[in-house]
Amino acid sequence: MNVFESIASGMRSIWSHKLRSALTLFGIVVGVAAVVAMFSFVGGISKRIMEDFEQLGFDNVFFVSDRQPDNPRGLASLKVSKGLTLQDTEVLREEIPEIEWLCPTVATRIVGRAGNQARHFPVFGATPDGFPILKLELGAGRLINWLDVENHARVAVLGEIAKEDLFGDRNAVGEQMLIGKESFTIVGILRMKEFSRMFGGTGQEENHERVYIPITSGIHYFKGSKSIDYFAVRIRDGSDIGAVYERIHQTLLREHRGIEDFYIENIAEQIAEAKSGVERITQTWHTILSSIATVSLLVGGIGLLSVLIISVNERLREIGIRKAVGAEDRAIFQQFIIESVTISLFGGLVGLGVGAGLCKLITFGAAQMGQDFVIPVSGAGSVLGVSFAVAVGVIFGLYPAYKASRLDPIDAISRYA
Amino acid sequence: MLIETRDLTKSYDLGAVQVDALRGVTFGIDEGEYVAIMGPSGSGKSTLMHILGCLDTPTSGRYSLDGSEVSGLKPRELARIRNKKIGFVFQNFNLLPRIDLVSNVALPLVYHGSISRSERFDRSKKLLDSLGLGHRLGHRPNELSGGERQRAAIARALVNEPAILLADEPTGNLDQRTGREIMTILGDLHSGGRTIVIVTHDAGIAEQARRTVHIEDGRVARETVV
Ligand SMILES: Nc1ncnc2c1ncn2[C@@H]1O[C@H](COP(=O)(O)OP(=O)(O)OP(=O)(O)O)[C@@H](O)[C@H]1O
Ligand SMILES: [Mg+2]
Repeated sequence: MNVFESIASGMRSIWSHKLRSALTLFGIVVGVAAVVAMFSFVGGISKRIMEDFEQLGFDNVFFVSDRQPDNPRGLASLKVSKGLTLQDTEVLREEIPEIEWLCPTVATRIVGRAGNQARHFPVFGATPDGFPILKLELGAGRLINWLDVENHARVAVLGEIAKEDLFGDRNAVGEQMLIGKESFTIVGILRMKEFSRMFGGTGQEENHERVYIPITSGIHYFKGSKSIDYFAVRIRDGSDIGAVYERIHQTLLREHRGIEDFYIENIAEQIAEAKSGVERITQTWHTILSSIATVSLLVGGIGLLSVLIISVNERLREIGIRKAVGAEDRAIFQQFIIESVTISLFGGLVGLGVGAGLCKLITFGAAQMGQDFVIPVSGAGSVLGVSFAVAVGVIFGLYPAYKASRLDPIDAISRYA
Repeated sequence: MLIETRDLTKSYDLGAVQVDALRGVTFGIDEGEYVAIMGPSGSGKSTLMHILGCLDTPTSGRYSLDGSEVSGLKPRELARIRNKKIGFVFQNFNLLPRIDLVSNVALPLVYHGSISRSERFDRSKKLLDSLGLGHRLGHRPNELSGGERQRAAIARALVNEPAILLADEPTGNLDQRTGREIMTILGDLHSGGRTIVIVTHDAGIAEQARRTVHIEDGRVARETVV
């Protein structure tokens, strides 16, 4: 008897005992469905969190900011170092090739006015690099360019919230606004990103309450000194965060003649840590889920075992007849193992279907409630679930198959009668 | 000699008591013979047939089939002998209920090892045709009469071209007329050169055989040759 005939025989025996097979399969179906659904769920959530991190835009970012030196020489040292300057940014750019974007920034809070609307706005003098660093997207018009920076141009880009405060739904590109007493032309409007609610408030609101102008204009119109408030640095993907941090620190320290009147906020590191935290949690969940799956499949396996034992006892005569016409022990063993695996594999595939259906259902349900929450069916979960089911079939088939194979033909035939 | 036994014994150890079903059976069967085995109920006829059919092993004694010693063989080797050299017909047919007639007849070929599906089908169909069951190939055993079932069982016993056909009360579950039908088939097979051993309680049936071995109390009591 070859494998296909054994499988066919397995199918026949499932089919001829539909209710019993269904009860046996139930445990395996539930086990596999749970594995697939839970793996997909955890995978979907962690993928979502990772995407949010990306959207957040702070991976690979450092903020270098101004601060008072906390050494005993106190203010005296300020005369030795000029604080953060545009000079610093050029040196960093030159010496550290891992830096992809670098944006010096001056920030003030000042009244902005357009038509009869007026409000205090955070006004940020920045360079074109500032937008990709913060992953800000353009909604209309254009961004600040290097020519604007060079010319101290009186142009402004508004965050989406700032624009709505001043103009409501009206078009703002090309309009004039007053910043303090200076008149600026609005050249572009930013657009807020679609964000998941996973993080609640995401920090992007802050970016969109601002008015962005060229750094040079910021220094020229709204700042007494040449010093800048901070700069944001984004390093290239895959750079060694710790090493680059160290080099930025050393370079600035040298430029500032050994005075630590700056502070580097290592956001890149924090984000990286948070990401690996999420990965660890995902791993932990996978371990927990695998153990739950193991338990539920073992329970399913015990059901399978008892059904197989009943089946062997019911089929003593069949086994005896097969042996009487020349079936060897191992042919009978093979027949029952294949039957067992056929049942469990069938259960596994049904479970996979149910699990995948659950994922679709959650996705659909979320969509109904206006949430874009897609749970992709986990490949790892599917493979794990189905192979577990097969393993259950093999393991719990062993004993009944062995028992069947060792039956004495005459004994088996006559015990039935 | 096709079959030769020497002092075959078979005892069942039932704990408190020991049942001696066979107490030393010595006899032989030549190729082409038609032998009937008779004897009172419980005398050990079935036990002897099972041993001859390699379905059971003797407690002691020797048994050689077709020139080679059978006693002491491993289960796997016994299975091979059952598969290739022996055709066994049971009193209660022992067909598999869930598969059709042609699959039942082909069953020994399934375990033969190297016979293709189509050849299995062809050989089984041919046998069923020759036994007048050509129109029943796709039927399940429970859709057939007792006589038809026994004919199918005979087809199954013959499908592997065995050296010997063993039948333990093949007409025991059949009415007289159907029984005679089966006996005619066995008679024809013998005329065609088959070696046949049949257990029966019916002296009329035994007469068809040239030689009758009488078993009593686990021993060969006497033999009659017509
Ligand atoms: N598996 C067994 N366990 C115990 N005793 C058995 C077993 N099989 C047969 N016997 C005993 O062995 C003896 C011979 O039995 P057997 O079936 O060979 O008789 P028989 O001649 O075929 O009888 P019948 O004409 O009724 O078929 C009987 O006493 C029977 O009870
Ligand atoms: Mg008997």
